[in-house]
Amino acid sequence: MDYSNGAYLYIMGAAVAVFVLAQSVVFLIRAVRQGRRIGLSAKVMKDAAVSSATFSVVPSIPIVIAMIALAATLGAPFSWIRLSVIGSMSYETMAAGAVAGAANIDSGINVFASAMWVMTLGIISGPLFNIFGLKKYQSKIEDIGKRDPKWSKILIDALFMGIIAVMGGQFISKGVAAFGGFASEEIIKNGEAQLLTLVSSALIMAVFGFVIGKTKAKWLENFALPISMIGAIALSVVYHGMFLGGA
Amino acid sequence: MDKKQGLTINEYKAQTHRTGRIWTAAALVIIIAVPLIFCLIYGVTPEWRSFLTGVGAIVPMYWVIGLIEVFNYSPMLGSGGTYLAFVTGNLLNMKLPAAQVALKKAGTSAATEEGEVISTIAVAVSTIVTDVILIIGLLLVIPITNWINSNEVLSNVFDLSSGYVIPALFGALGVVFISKSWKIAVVPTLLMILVFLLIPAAYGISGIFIPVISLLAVLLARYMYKKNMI
Repeated sequence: MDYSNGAYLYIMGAAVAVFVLAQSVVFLIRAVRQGRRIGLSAKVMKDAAVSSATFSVVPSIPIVIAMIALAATLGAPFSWIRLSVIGSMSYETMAAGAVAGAANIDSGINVFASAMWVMTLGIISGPLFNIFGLKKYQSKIEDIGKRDPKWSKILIDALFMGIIAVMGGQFISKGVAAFGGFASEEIIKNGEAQLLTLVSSALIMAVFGFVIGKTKAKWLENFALPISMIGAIALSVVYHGMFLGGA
Repeated sequence: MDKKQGLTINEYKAQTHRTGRIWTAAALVIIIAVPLIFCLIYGVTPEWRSFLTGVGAIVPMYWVIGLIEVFNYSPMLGSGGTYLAFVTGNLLNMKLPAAQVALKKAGTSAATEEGEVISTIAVAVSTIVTDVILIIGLLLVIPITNWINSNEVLSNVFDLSSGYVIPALFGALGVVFISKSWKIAVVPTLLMILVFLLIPAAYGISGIFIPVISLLAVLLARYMYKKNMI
């Protein structure tokens, strides 16, 4: 298994990490310059950066854990590469699983090469489209924004609501089914604890919203989301223990 | 003066697409180079049976998903944010919420000139944070692996598919965005809860519902907008 933790992949990993960081820095600098040009205040831009940075810490933790989990079969450097560019935790685990279903990934270098190719080829359609078609598509979206700014804002809210409805809704249903006992054990799993975690996070966030509204303590806004998440995740330990015991 | 300002903005847009295309193309070259050079250096070919099985299982579905994701998510990310986010990944759990939270804070949307800037800043900063954390994680990979494996609570809480980070994320996000525009939120959310309750098998493929329900939310919002309900 030397190849999967070999020098070559570590070097490529470093190259990919540097590439992604460089691209982010280039886009960041361009955006800040443009922001100044169109008269955005330094404070507004700094707020955006700070809110994004504080938000991003907590959701990064599962990504690191995914990297560690994948490292067991794919080696550390390729897992690092895969989680640094495109893809997502769920995609990488699924794609690795698809190859693992056909052959044991650590059974040889050829199977390992297969896994690398499958995981790489599977995620290139989005960026490929962006190279050729994004400009046209974005100009259509911008047209809507110019013609009817109010509708354009509602349209984007509605798109995001689709994500919230699916991602939040699944935990509500799972939890309701778990508490009501009308779905199989295999599907519900820890549905109760997941629903309680979701509700806790929502409640903590609501309290923050209330306090921020009352006291006008704008500085709290940056911490509201990460603290709600950390608080709910801490409580999830209790819920998990309540419903799944020590298991 | 106005004209000059307008030109600058258009120039910025054109330049965003140029820069975005170049970086995206370079990113594709690098990620394809990883397995290619690996095969050349070690003088191996992929094991074809597992390769074809894997490609068959992954490529058709994820190529379609990738395309739908661009259509679905790029209005929320703006041009710069889209180029960047589609190279760096982790859209649902990181880049989209990061951009939406920053945009909401600035009181704008990605379709405006200010929003384009704000969203790009948010996605870029989010990427930098994740990458730095990944590098730290990599350095600590062995100690961390041992620590997590030895601690059942941690491995349960941060488990990929049945952990608690995603419910915690969407609980808090839900409050923020549903309270802001509850009229658009009610029907899609209730509908999804119903679908998942009636068809438990849907949990395994929940991602597939996002474009469908987003489209429905948009149509519904359009109707309410036309009727002056929102």
